Amino acid sequence: MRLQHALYSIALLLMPFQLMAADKTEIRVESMEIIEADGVYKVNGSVDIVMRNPVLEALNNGVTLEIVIDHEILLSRRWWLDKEVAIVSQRYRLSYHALTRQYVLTNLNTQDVNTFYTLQSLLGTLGDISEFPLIDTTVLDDDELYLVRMRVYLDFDELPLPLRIRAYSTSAWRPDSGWKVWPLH
Amino acid sequence: METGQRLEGMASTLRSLTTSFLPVIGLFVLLLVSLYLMSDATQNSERFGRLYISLLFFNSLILIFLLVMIGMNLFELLRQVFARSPGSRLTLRLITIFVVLTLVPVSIVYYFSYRFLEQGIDSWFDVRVEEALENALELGRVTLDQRLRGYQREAQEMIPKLQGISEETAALLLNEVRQESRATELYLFGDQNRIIASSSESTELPVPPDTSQAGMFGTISTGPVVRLEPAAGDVLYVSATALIPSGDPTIKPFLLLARFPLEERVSELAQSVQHSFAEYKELAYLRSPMKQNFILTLSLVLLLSVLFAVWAAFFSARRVMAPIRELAEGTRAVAEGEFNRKLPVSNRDELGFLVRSFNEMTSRLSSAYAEVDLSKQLAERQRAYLQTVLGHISSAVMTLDGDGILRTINAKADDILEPGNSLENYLAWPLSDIAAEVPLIKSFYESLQPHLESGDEDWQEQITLFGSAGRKQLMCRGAQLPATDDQPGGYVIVFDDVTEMIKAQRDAAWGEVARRLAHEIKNPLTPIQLSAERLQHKLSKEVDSKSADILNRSTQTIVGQVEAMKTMVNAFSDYARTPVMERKPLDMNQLISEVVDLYRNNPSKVRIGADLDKTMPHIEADSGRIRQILNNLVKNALEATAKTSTGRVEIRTRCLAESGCRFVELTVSDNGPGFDEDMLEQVFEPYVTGKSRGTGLGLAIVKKVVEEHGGMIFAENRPGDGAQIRVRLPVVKTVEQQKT
Repeated sequence: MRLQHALYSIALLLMPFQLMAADKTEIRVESMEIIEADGVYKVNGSVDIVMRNPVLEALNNGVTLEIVIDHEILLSRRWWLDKEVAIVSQRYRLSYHALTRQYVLTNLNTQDVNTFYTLQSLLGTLGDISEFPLIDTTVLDDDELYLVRMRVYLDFDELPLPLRIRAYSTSAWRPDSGWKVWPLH
Repeated sequence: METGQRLEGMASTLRSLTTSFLPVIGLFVLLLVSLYLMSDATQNSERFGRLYISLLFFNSLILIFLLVMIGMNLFELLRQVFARSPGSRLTLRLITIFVVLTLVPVSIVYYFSYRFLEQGIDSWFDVRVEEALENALELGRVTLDQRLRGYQREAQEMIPKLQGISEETAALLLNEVRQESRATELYLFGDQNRIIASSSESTELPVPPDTSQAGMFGTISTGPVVRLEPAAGDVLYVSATALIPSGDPTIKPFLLLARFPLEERVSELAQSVQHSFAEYKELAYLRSPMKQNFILTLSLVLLLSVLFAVWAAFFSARRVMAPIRELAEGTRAVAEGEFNRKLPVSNRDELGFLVRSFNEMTSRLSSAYAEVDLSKQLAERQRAYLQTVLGHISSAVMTLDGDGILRTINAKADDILEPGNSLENYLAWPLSDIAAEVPLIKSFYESLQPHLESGDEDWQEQITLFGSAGRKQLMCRGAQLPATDDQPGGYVIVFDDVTEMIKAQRDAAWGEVARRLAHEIKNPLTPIQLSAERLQHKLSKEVDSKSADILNRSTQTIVGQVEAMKTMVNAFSDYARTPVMERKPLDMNQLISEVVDLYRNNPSKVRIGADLDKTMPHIEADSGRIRQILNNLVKNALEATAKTSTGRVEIRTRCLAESGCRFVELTVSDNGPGFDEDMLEQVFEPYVTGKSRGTGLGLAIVKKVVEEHGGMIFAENRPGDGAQIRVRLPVVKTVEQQKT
């Protein structure tokens, strides 16, 4: 009982540091899976997006954010750099609708609009990639080894100008998952 | 070293890049354009907003470039200032003025712009405006809520129409219901949010709303919900749900989702309020970064302007100063005597005029200098000419300027005035100062002083100086030189040594006297002698012995004295006789030997030594007269030494090597008492003798003969004792050649 109490105290003490360490927006590619269905390679995946200040504050204050999900199909080459075969880019716009108190997610590729009462549900929808079509299987050569890599990031070039200058100087404005690579087959 | 050169080369390239006009203008225009674009971009313009970051980067590059340029210019300028190169200080001052003139207004503008930005942007935002907007939003919400309830009612009213609906008939029924209502879309969801049927006004089936998210729609369990939904195309939809109980109690009720488009007007108003609010909110949120952004742009613009102005200051100062610096360098060159310096004429303004004037001045100076040089050469040539003339005339010439300073002197003056070294060394000395150094010039100066001081125009005076070789008679003629503007005229003094001439004149006068005297006296002497002898002869037998004795003694006295008088008159006549020279080559040594032999057995037992130069050339002379000289000299010497017990006479001959053997020298010296010092000057004049007996003509005759042979004679006392006579006779060239 005493030990438990002590551990709890230590956890409490450490909490500010943990918060500080994680005190910015994070984007993480949790998992990814390529499936082949109807002659098309599709992606299932899950991206964990935790939005924190200052990006969160900006969104709540009416600033529009654009989040990009990039997929790249690479031809793996043994003795040379990998060759880019195709790039599929999905662009989403996030905004807050003050009148209805809802978050609006717009798929800029399809112009589909979805509205959410909470940001969490929006980010959950955004992070849940299901059967996203990548490329026709016929395009690729069966004998070669292909890689798929994915990157999710906030496109800070789409921020309003004053914030853009901040984004160039502060990494808190540039959340980025970095590339995650999976083999295609 | 190499790196230094490379740096130097780089610097010069940069300098040439920055000294020419076009790159500067180009850079300025570029800067202006980029600053305009940036300011445009700062105002969130869509056109250049994307360029902003690159513009920022580009301008920062220009900033660094300008800083480097200014740094290099400053370094160069300071180096020049410390090296005291011409014009650098003025350049520094000019640049300082430029920079101050730029900085002051820019700083003021900057300060007020900063204040304005700070306050101006803040003033956009007002609590009341924000409140109003929020209230408008709230009002919109309230208004919409009422409408939403209407839509919800409508959805509820659909329930009885759809009661007992089955999955098979759903689609048809839904369509029917929809057409009767305002709804544009109807969806029927079954268990687990599965779509059972849908009906839409548009032929294109809309994307069904995603109901999987918790709380998005009322689920079957949560009951009916109505809500406003922003959709694509900036319109608002109303979504309302209603629970439709199924006919079968085992089956859960269905969920109806009806979508109504909001009335256009209401939608527009609502969206307008939403947009304004969102925009205001965003702006308020962006206020601080925007301010920073504006200030950054402002600072960059002003900093660039200032730096550009500073650089332009360097640039223009250098351009303005270039002709001045060249002028300074040119002036310095002219001051150092480089008259042919020409400066490049770059522009047509006053500085260009100055440069042209400078060039004109140097060209004039140059030609004037050439003229001066030419006239100097001319003067030098004339001076050399005059010097040559003066050096070769037999008279001594000296000129004094108005202040009595020696200006010209010729070589003959050195001979006469015996200064010890050349009088040329005393040029530009006042004559009075030279007098203090040279004894002969002292008496010379004292004699001339009255004429020089009284300013006689033309005068002539005979002066006597006492030089090393005895008394010197000088004939001086002076004439005043014409005065120049600021200088009184000096004097030219021409003087000759007339000692010899005067002596010759005196000798000639004496000869004339002697000749006449001999003539006049000699004539009566023979009758007197004959008459006296006759008196004795006739009367000595007739008078008594006593008287005869007297007679005898008297006549003998008469005859003796007459004899003596005759001898004297003969001597006179010898002195005065006009020479009839019979010149023949003569071996002096042989002649001397003969004469010396005659005197070997003299009664006073004086020893006679002869030291004869065997190599001596023959001379051309009258042997009889030379014999007479030798006789006279030897006799004199013997007489001078007769009283001493160890009398000795030396005769020496030699060829004067120092004069190139153009003379033979005969020296007769004795160890007698020597000449009286006060007699030494006049020893060669007639009737001057140190002997108790003698006519006083011996040495006078010797001198006369020597001079007739073109020779010279000197009488001096030997340092120890005794006297010495030196005779120099010229060697005749032909005779010399005969011998050799």
